[in-house]
Amino acid sequence: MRTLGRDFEDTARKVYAVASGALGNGKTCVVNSDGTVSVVAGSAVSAATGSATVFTNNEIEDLGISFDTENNKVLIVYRDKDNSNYGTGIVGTISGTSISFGSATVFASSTTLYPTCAYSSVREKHMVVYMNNSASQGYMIPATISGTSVSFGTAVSIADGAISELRIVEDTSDTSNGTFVIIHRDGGQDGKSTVAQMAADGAITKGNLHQWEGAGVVGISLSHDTTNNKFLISFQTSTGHALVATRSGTGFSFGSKASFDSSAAATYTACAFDSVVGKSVIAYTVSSVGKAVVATISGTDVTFGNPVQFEGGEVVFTSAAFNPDMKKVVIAYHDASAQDGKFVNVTISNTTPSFSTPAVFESGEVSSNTTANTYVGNGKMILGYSDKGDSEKGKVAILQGAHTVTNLTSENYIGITPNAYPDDAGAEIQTKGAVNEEQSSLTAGQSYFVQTDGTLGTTADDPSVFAGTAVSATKIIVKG
Amino acid sequence: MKTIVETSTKLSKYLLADDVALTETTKIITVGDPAQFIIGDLNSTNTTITLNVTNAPSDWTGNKYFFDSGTWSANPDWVDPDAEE
Repeated sequence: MRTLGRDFEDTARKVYAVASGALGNGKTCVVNSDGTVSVVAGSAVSAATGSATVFTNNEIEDLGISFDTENNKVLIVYRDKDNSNYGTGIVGTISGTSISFGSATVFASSTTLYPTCAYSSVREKHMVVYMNNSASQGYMIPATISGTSVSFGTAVSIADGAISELRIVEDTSDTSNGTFVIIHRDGGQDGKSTVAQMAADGAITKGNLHQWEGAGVVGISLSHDTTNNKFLISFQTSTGHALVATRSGTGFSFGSKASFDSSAAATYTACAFDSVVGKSVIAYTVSSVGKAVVATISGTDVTFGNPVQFEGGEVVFTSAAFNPDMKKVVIAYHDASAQDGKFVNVTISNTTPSFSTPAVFESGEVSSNTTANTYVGNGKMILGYSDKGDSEKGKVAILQGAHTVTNLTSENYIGITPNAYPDDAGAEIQTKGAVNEEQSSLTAGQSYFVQTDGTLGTTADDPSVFAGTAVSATKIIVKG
Repeated sequence: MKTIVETSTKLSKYLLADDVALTETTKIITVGDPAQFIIGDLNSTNTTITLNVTNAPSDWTGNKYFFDSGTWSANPDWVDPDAEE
């Protein structure tokens, strides 16, 4: 007969290591990069909104922000109305909820409309897209951050003819090429898309244009469903619609468009993908209030839950982005009724969104086309806008989202302590297959997961780490 | 005043006060000392700088006028972006 979970010899199934910090009795433990061990612990970070910070005293309109994960910087691109409407970029360095800026650099000495940008984690460069109104063409241009400066490469045309809206996201499924998906609304109100790929030196190649919707498109938005590796395009064409785009090489195929709200015209659509839940949120304005729906992609189809209102005031200039630390989508917008810049956090439950109470990030009017909303790490978002109450200066606010910081990863859990140990002492950790007898209130036969605060729970936290199976109220077979 | 003109098109891209320092390299032009901003798409190889300009149009904005041999002329292709919106 074999005893479940422990050999009579009781060899192995334990490891000895130096404690980094005191280890309590019966506590879940991780191994640190230096080989020491610590209890699993989490600490709560409270929500905070940083003060508005000016990045240019010039009047701006239209802007986009991308986060450079390699340099831990943000690139802000904007239309500088006080400098002949030239397309301009500036680098921001975030510290806490503060931000400082380098010198602005013009990337297009021509009338530049609708600039926005995305970051390639493969190339460690940004791609800026914009409408060159002087040439009546859409362009894309690579941007590289060095220190607090940004330099730009050679611009490449996206499409001939006028462009009225542009959106861009990185295709993170392609880990070999710097691949981006770009959508735009052209002068004929058609919705079109293209794939752009950036070489290591910043050189850009592009695929053919693909039309995903005929005339009458407005208020476009784009997000990448990384679970299904699909792209969700939301837009208004009489009412609110969305469709699924599938990239293959430098081409696309599209699913059928589906209506997410047929009650009235849906404007200012903004979509973002919640990678924890595996669904997207589409925010929009309908009948002058702000609503959102949960979108679920299956194959090349998208289905929706019921719309839920998040703002009773008139919502315009909406943007949406996911904060993976908060595990929530953040919607930023201008409340044209109250004349305030606001944001809400979205929690998805099945196909229903729920919202935090709208909070103000700018007490005053936010100008047209000008909220940008990007995750910048450590639970923070950056919101960019033009402050109409202050000469339409370009400003940003850093939002610190409430979340838990933990030392638990998907890989570093090793087991549970059979005793308590002081800091720097040699400690025994019971590892996979051992039976830890220092628990309480467990249910025999129940699987338990390590929670980010070190406790045991019956549902997986994020990251999902299996702790073991209880064999009594006080005993658990360790997995690790 | 001084103007930075794109040599190939003769378009006046920037109009600056005489006391604003310009530092040109083959890659960029730095405006001001310390830098007020950097022009990333123009440089010493594709621009001509003219100093002591006295007759600039009162409604000057970038790309709205050609400047050639001291003479200003309107760019017929220039479009006011705010009028379009």
